[in-house]
Amino acid sequence: MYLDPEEEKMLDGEYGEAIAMAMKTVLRVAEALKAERLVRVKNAHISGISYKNIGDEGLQFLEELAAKGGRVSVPSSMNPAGLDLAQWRNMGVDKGYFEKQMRIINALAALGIKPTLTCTPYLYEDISYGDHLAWSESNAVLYANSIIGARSNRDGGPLALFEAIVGRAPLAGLHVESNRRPELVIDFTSVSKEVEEQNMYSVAGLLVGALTGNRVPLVRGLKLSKERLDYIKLFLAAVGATGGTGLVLIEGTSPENYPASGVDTIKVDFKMLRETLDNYSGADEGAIVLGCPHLSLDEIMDIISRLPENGTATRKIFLYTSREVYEALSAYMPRLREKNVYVFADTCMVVSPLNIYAGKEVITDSGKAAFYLKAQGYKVKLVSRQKAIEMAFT
Amino acid sequence: MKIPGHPVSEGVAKAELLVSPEPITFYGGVDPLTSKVTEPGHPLYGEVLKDRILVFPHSKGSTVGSYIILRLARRGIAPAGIVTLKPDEVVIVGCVIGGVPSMTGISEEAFNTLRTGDKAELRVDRNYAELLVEEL
Repeated sequence: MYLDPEEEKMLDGEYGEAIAMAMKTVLRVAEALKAERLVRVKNAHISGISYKNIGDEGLQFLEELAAKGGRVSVPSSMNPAGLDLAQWRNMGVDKGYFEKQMRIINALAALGIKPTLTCTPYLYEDISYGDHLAWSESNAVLYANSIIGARSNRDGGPLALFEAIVGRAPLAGLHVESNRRPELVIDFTSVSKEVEEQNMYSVAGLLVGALTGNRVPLVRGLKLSKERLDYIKLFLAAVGATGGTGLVLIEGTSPENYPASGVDTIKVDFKMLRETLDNYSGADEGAIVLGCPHLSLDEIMDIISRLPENGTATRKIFLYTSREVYEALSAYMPRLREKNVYVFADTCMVVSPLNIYAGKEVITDSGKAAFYLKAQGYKVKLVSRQKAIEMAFT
Repeated sequence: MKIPGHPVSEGVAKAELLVSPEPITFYGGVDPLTSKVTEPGHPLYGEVLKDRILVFPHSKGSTVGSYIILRLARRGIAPAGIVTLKPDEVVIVGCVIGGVPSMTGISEEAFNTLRTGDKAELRVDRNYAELLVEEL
């Protein structure tokens, strides 16, 4: 494997221990992927933020890396944490847990990573077609590759962190154009109208992920215009939950066009959608949780516009978004709370202690949230966003 | 018997082998506080990874698994060494940050000769890796 002189110096420890460890790890992964060389990345997004997952040992590791002088060399952002940094007391989180979580965030910030705590870096970061990225968080990787035409593998959190430190990733996988071509076609043409009318984009995404596995699919017959980012986000996040791929070529939407010749086609019928949806038909009674992926400002304004003028929701509605959007909405908060609607930033329903503040039964419009919450033992009902709001006001 | 492989993480380990014919999921499948395999139905269910050279095809599941290997290593209960058939990101990153001696890319033929309880020595440096298995 080829290393340029600067990369050799990084490996040999001339820039310090933290960079040497980062380079060694990236190199070992590059060798495993049979990369011929590394490629410079423009931006990084780091997952693996939750204290619950990485524990005291992960926390110590990050603090040591920061103390050794580790520093990212490209603009880097952070995935959501296990709590809302300002409202954690309302989430049933104890103080010890909060303090450990803050130490993780502070260590990552000391490494130079912006504490954005959102899973939608594509709404905020300056990235464009053809850029190489070191992103973890599956929905973000899918959006960057499939909608923007940037190039990122679906890295794990620590690998993306090391790539951010050395500013390079292995030139392999989705960084290489020949690996971005469709390996099968998934055709929704015969159910296109039903998916659109019934807002079944989350269901379509769960199905695509299950059908495609680790392959790059070409999806045909889904009306996913860039005017409806809400549908695109829900669709891709659901693909990332059930599938292992980092790229979905959406005909008519994705910027890359490759011929799909000589590959298998799977035709989707309504029965397949119905069976996928039937996995998430529990919980008619629970709270409503929206915002996986994090809601954009436009999406929250749209939700606010759909709330009835009079009356209060008969069940709690929780919305999850970035700190930036939360702050932009501050003038609306009193009215939302009056309507039994609560907005959380920095976290989401999947990584915060949802059972404590919302119970074990929930209704969501997100296929990704439905998939992960069901796996955590929740009773989940998957419906469209409009239907969820209607359920709260009847 | 001497089995060559590709280096993942440098170090030397001398211990008994623990061989899994199935992939291992570290996040959710191994308890980071005890190093016990907790995945129901797994061939290694209930086994303790500590002080053994763990041999398996490759890992599966969440990339948070890298942090589970790190947690085991910091508690002093990681496998003495890790040998895999195929390289994967989770194990590579976990072994490098946890300092667990590890090699990958052994042949399928060699993999099939390894048995739980065999005494072995794993030696890995930057450019060289081998597993020496004691003949009975």
